[in-house]
Amino acid sequence: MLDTTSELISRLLRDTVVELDIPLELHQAATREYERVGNWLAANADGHAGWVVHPQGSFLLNTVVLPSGSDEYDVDTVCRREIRKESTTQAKLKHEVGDVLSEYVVAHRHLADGPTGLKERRRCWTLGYPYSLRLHLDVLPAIPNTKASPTAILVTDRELRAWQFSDPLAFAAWFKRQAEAEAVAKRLRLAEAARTAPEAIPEWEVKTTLHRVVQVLKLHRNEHFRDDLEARPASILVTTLAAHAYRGEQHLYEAVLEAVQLMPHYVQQGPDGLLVPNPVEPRENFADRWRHHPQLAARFFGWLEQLGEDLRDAESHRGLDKVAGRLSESFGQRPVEKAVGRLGDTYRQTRENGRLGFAATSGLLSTTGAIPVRNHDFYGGGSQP
Amino acid sequence: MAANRRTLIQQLAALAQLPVTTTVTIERNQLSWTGELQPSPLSDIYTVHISYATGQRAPTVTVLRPELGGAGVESLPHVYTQDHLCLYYPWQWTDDKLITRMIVPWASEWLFHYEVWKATGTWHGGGHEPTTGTQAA
Repeated sequence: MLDTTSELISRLLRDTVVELDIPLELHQAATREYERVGNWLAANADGHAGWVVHPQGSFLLNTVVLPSGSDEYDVDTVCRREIRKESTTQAKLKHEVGDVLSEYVVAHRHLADGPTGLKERRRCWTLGYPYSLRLHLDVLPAIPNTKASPTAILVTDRELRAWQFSDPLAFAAWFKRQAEAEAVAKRLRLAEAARTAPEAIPEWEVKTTLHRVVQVLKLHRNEHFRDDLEARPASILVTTLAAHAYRGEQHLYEAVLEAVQLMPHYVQQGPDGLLVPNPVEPRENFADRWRHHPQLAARFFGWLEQLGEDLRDAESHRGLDKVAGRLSESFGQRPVEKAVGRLGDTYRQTRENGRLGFAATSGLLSTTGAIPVRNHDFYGGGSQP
Repeated sequence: MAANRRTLIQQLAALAQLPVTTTVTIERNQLSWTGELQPSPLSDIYTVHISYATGQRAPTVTVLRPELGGAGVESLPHVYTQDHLCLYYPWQWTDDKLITRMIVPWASEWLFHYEVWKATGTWHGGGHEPTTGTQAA
């Protein structure tokens, strides 16, 4: 238990991102909601069975972090219309989806957990919900890409003439494969601890070190680019490079440092500039914006270096309060404080359970310390008896 | 007082064998111990002093270095007057026990929770609650 600086800072990093991860109840509420949208669309919209709504992005990948400065989670979904490319246009599809979604809002807004409104964005529609639900649903209109995999889609973009290629379901499967063995082992451990079958453990609980690496990267990115959203690298770009760079490390601190060091090696030089191809749909370049704005690539590499420096610097401090102060600068004060408080609770509970030991060579407290720390209660103030 | 009270010599002998001990002496029936404690790998290293005299109800524990508190700290949590650490309920220490086995590990644990308290403003170490310390907002 937490015998090295790396183990301890890994625990703090993990609990910092746990603090901003989507809670299980919200995850379940969001799942119920996109299923309700999907079912309603399938039953009520034109063409009936031709409408499917499924999750994509960080919600599907299990790498959600609360957006910086917000109390609401983004839940990304795809609304896939089972029609041929020749029978529609980007604008037509976008408006059709918008029309049925506004009908959905009208039909459900009287419900306590029903949608409160609908907004159009560049690529998607956003369904808003009452504040207490702490989420909104982004719905990306899409049609099948019949020339690629069965899950491949074409998506609309208000600012681009050509349909955009994508394949979020295949991407999620690829991402999962990058830490597959670890996920299987983790699921078995969780099932054993809960005395249940492995398949009874919800996907949400099975978070590998790779999931946590991506969450650490995204959280640091959110803080780093807080005042410069235009320059902020997209989650999909960060996630793809982190998954390529992942070597199956168990300590989060070292896994993040390694990711930061290796990620640039997976950026390719293409004929028209830098490339980070979608691993399951090479026609999609996640670094597309860098072609027109090369300075963004420089900002991206600079950010990775900064993240490495911030972590190494935090690890070099002594005093949990000083380490926490340094981590707060990079990851935000509130989640870091919560993580440190959780660490305090863990040490207290370990001692209460009779498992905390004291190492006579250093004063270090851990489950491996030779002298058992007897149970006791810190007492109050006043004069000493 | 417990029937088999440990003598100061017994306490000294046990403390002298502890690797974290810097000095331990008995002068005029007063045991004086100084040692260095680092409660976690990311914690500071603290120089801690324990004194215990014949007939004294319980040992007195103070932190010599680094100075406790600092900017924004108005009062420390779980201390007696003069910032002596409050480590246990009065009945949890009896003089048949060894300082090495009880007081020194508890002092290290106090230091761990002190750092957590400095980071969070909340005492996570458990125990009696009347003074949990205050930090300026």
